Amino acid sequence: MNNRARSESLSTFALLATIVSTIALSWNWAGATLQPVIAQGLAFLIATIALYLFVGNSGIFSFGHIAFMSLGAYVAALLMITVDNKKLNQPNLPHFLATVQLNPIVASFIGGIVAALIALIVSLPLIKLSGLTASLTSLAILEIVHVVAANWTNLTNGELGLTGIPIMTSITELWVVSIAVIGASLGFQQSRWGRRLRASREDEVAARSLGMTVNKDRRIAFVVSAFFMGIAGALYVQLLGALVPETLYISATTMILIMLIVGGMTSLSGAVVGSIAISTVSEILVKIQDGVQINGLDIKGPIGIQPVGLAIIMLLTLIIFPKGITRSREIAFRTKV
Amino acid sequence: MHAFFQHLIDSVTVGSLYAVMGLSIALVFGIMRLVNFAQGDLVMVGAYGSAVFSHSPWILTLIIVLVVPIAFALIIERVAFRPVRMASDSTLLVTSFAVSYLLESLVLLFLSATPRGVNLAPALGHSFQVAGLFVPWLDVATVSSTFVLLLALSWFLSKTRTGVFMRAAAEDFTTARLMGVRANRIIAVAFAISGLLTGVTAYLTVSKTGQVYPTMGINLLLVAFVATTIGGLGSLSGAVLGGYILGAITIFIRAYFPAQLANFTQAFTYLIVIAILVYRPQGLLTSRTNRTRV
Amino acid sequence: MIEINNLCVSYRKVPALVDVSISVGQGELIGLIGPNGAGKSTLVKAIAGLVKPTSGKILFDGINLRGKYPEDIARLGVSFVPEGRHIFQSLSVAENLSLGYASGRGYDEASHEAVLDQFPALRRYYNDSAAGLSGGEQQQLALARALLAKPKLLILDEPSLGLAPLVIESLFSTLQKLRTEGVTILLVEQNASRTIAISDRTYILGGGRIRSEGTAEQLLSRKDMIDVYLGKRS
Repeated sequence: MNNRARSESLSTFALLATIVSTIALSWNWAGATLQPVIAQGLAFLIATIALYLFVGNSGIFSFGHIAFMSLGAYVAALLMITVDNKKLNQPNLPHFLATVQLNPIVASFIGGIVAALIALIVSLPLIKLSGLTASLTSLAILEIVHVVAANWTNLTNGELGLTGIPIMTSITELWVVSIAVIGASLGFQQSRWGRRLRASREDEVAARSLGMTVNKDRRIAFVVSAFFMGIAGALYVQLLGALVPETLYISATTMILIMLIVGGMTSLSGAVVGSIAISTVSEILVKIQDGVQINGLDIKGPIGIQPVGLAIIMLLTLIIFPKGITRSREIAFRTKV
Repeated sequence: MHAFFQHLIDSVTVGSLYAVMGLSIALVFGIMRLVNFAQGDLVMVGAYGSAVFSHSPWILTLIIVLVVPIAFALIIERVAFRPVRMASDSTLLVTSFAVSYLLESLVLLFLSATPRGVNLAPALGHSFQVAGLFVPWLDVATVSSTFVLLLALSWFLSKTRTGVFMRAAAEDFTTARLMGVRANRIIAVAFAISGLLTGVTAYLTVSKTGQVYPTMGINLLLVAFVATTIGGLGSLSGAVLGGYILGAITIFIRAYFPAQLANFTQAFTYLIVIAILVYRPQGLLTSRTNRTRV
Repeated sequence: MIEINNLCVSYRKVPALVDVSISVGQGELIGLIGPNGAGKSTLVKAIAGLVKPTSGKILFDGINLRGKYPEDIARLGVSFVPEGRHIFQSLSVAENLSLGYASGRGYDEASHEAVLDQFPALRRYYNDSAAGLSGGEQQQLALARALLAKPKLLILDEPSLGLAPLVIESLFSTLQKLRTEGVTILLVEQNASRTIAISDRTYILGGGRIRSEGTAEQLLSRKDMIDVYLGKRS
């Protein structure tokens, strides 16, 4: 890789890392109402970047990717909840889970690993499918995870869900993981596998003729992406304290999809910018729904305006600016050679 | 043995619904390479139409349920899909996802999320007995209307000018246009027919479940996607076959698996589908891959 | 009948046609030859509406074709037989032929039968799938399909590609016959000498530009120069 590309990529990393760090830092001074917004925004940022790692590089839309976020969330939750709590609420847990209680960082990491392992298994049949078929099949994966979460009551408590998940008290883990996932994404897309994958993205037929290699590249992206997805899920539930099957299901899927599209789906900067933009807009819309005072004016929108607003933004983006805010290019300092 | 035939009846009925939904997806896909996420929501709007008109004479309700999805389908095509017609398959897919999300959130905005009870076609609620088997009239209606639809569609595609043009366009859109086939018209016809198919699905679904709610289309949509995937994307007969296979798998898993696993029926169904795809990634009845886009 | 003035076409900033001007008069058979990649297909695709020019004019009987949909251009009376024939393999021969009337032009029993008389193989396989036809028969089908629309202008893009020599013979004699019947034809071909021989005038395209133009006698007298353009000599 030539020097100019390397330095551009480093500048992208620096820019994005600065943006994210600023946001993370602001958490320390934000009021009690704003802190959860920032924290959840960061969790979704990580998830969006994780999704981008696979979708942006391979061109295959994994609609069911939230399945891995949910998996990571459940695994981490089960490992983090106190033993006493488990004895009370989940008497039927297998012995190993009932007696273990890990610290959140380790639990989140394991959540990511489990998600990655399942992704590896799933990728064996999935990656052989053509782009569209793979996208649709990923939905089936999401559904399978949802059904299992909702019905394996001994493990997950079904629709009642898990409670008593230790709440996160600092922004540090979210900050570290977001920097890490930005670095991993940039690293991947500059790597041999990433560049090959991007080349295959445009022309599926040519990609197929390269056969094994493309599949391997796709699998690597899929598994790494699932790993970070799992960690994002594990961190997210530490903000909520509770988890039900619907927490990470269709509305979460819609959210990260909108973030990716609006930002620009083939650039990492797009994932970051889109995620921040949509989190902000979404929060504004929710505030309007709840009722807000500006300069003495009472503004209250009808319930339901938040999803409609986001849907319209997504549709307008696709029709008018399909490349998104960042025009699907990376933010970087470009030097003229 | 007796139970087996009961399950067979159920699976043909359920399979018919899935087949019709799958067909509506496959039809639009064949012409435009667009997998329409909003198709499930077309069922939903048709269903809400029936809710609004549930106290009218049944023929009026039926017409409304058929016409409303057709109208929505045509509007959506013109407003949302025509501008992105030349885009990649993925962009088309995501656009349809956005449309679907918009439709659902609009319904949530203007109506409520709580399910509304609808009493549609009470006459179909009874069953009759034959050879010791219970056959609900609704099942008869479902299977026979599917049969009629399939027959009508076959006739349309092979015996009418527009139908032949559609088949040509599905194989090679560019060359069809070079011959003078009007792209906008053919696509509109495809959407209208898919709207009609979803209208029928809506009527039958509401008659069976008795309720409407904003996200009711999602499950049917997922099933339709999976059905077309097993059958082979783009193959109309594949979508129908896929629908019946899914219907059979769903019913028979629920019937023959141990009771505590019954709740996991959907999960197992999709696992089986994935297994099928492992051995035949292109689907069971692949159509010609000689495909150029609009 | 068709006037092209200073046409420029680029594929994403890479120029494919630069300042091309040709004209085809009523009843003429005009040839368009040149080496691979010269831009011949691009030119006829621009006429048919498949490719958007960056500048220039395409006038068909005074009507500006630029910006029109391919189907509307077909409806004006331009019949385009694309490179590779592109018949519909999932349809029968009869159904393929019915596409010939998709432009809303030309249907009457008598001329339908006349075309079938001209291509007896198509009558033989009328209700069979088009997928079973041989290369030469497919070419006949593509041609018949184009003729059914009673086109004002018939454009053929490399019709001899992939055909056996005997079949090519019969193709060219069919084109001759059509010419005597008054059909206006624009023929894009690799087969230079044959094309020059049967055309009223032939244009030579090289590197996206018109290099030369003339009747058979005119071009044959400049054979050395022509061969350079056609890449037969350097």
